[in-house]
Amino acid sequence: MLFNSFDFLIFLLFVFILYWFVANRSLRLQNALLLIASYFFYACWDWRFLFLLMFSTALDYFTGLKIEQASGIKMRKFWLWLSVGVNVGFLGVFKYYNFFATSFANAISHLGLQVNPWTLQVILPVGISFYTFHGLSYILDIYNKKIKAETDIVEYSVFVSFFPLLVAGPIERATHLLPQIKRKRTFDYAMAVSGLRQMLWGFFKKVVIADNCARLADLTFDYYQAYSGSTLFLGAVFFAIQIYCDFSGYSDIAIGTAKLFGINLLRNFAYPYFSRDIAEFWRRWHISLSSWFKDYLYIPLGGSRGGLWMKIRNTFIIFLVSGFWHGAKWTFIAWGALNALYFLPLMLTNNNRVNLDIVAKGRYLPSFKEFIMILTTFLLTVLAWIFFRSESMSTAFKYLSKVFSQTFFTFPDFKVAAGFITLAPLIIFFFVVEWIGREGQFAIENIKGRWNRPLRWAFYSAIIFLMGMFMRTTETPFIYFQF
Amino acid sequence: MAKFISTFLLFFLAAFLFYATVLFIWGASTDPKIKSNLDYNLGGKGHSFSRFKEIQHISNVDVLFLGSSHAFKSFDTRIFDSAGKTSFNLGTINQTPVQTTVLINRYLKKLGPKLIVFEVYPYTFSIDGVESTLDLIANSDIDARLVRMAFNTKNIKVLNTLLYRTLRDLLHLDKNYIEPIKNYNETYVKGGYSENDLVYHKMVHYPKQTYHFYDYQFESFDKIMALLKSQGYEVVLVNAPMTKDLYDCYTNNNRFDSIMNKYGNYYNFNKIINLNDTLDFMDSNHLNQVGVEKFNDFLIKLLRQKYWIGQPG
Repeated sequence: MLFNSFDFLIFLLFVFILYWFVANRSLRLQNALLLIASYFFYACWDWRFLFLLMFSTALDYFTGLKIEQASGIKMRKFWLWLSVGVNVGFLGVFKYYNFFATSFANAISHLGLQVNPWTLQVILPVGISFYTFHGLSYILDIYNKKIKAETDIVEYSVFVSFFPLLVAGPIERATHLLPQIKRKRTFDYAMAVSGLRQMLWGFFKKVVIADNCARLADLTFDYYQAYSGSTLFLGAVFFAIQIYCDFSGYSDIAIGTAKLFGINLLRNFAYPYFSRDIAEFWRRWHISLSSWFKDYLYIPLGGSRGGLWMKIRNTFIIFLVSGFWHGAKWTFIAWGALNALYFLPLMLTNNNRVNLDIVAKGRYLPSFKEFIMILTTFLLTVLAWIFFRSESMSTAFKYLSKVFSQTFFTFPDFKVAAGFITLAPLIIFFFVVEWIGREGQFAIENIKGRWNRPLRWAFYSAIIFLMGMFMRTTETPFIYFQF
Repeated sequence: MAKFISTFLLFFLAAFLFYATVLFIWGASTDPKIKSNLDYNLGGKGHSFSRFKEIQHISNVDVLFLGSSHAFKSFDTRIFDSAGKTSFNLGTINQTPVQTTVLINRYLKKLGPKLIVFEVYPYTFSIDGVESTLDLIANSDIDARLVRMAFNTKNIKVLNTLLYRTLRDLLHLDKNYIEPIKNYNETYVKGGYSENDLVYHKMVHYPKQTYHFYDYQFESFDKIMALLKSQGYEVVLVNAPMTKDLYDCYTNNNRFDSIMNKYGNYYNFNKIINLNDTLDFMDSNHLNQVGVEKFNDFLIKLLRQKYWIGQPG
């Protein structure tokens, strides 16, 4: 069941009514309903993997209790590693086994040995990377005595499988979400309206901007041999916009949906394409994953303490793992490595925490210097996205070599250029709204303070009209569902 | 909560009015390139408008033709007339079983045919029927079944077009529309047939491909057949001829034949009649008038042999 489907809207309406009109009598009822709805939502994808989700949930629930009850450090470690091992094991089998098997066979073949790797014909369970990371953060927090183990299995299960975040995040923390699940929710008008507003903007980003950019990005990446450097560059820009609008659109819908149920989820994006350097970009892109890696990988590895080589090593590890998290492909690892290379000079010159505030705060326009910095950062990310989007490393290099060829200075292919001209007003509208709203949690959050009701409603209606007029006629899945 | 619900409903109403107003202006004034999600094609290809206008004055025919463009471009009602059989051709562009369901529920009783020739084109079992739904929305009457079908498509283009048509109806904008008898090189012939200007097909080679059938199209077809059978109608299923090149490029024709054979009275004319790919066709899958005449003569003979229609006179 995709967020951008009629089925989801009906499902949401049904659960919303039950939640606030039937289950509002008690916390247990509210949580039981959320759990049933979440499992139903997940089963709509593939009911067989529901058992995997339940098993993973039960495992973390029991190991969490065992870690807390264990008297000695040995037993605490045993239960910790059992949970980590099984969780990472599932992820490894479903997501990475084939990659390692074939990579090993390829490496061996360079030594003149032929190995036919035994690969698995498995489907990747949707959301496994996300719910596994929920569970891991919970277990690690208990082990590090940051939180108490949850005793109520229903409440814990809702934490893991709350349907808005189940398939593509944001990756929640027990410290943030569990207290909200343990507290009875009462209907909050302002929160619900804010949720609807955020969902609306998320839908616009997904169905109007991302899906239309996808058409042109797919065209250039799938048939890159046929296009000039300028066309391929345009295609890469389309992909950069597509992936941002697709994923942040999803996150906005997820966060907005959660608000309808009185629950605040973690922020996932903070206008990353208005970043003035790559360090700022990474503080604003997929925030819930970046902060997860920072807290559970970077800091335990020593973080930025220690010597120069330690810093470089840790930076590379976190970026490579971040790339690898997206999938078992060398292109994702290359994307991570390239971002590490972008980041390194900033870190080594202690400039990685310079741009912490909102760009051009209180001003309508950025300064010329800020504009150039934003543009440069965007172009760097565009180059990195070429690796992310390409089918293989060789494709990525061929794509890049065509971008950096003389054909870059020719007029882009008519089909792509025409697509750009049709899309340009929508993309400009989108970026203008994001720029104006960049001080809010989402672009149209603060619209209430600026405009009166008729104007606001006309604006929302116009967004709905643009969706109706420019959305694709087939439901298109979100990119991050594959991760 | 009460405030939330009332505000939401009020907004819903306001947004709907805004949407409908802007859609109407947009549809009437903008370039087709930027209204990809609105496809109101009154009097478009296929003469559906004329067909649905004429059918209002038709009743009790001997033969009713159903199906896609293969039907309205292959079954010439004049030839059946001259064979002494009244007929009506209710074929429409890319009509799939889902749309056929709407049409037979609307017109079957009125037409009361003695025989139904149902053209079954495998391709129409492998498409969602959106194009045909849009054709019906623009050119036929809007009734509850059509509205239900439109909503079932869950397709924004269909819903926009339905709303746009409704608005035009409310303002009586198409009340005086008359479709030209000759439109897009096609001439409308009384009885629902569309005759194309005589052209000959230029050979094209098609790569091997497979029909990817939708189960729900077969389910709809099954329901249609059950309904027709329960009401005692005689039905002949016809897979109309297409060029050999096109026919042979599909790898699962036999599977389709075996499904259709289960219903009985199924004739795949690609295996029965010998036509010339160039001289008898106007394009890869439509007969030209020369081919139509050969095919219709052959079909009438077959129907007579099997006593589905009587001898002339």
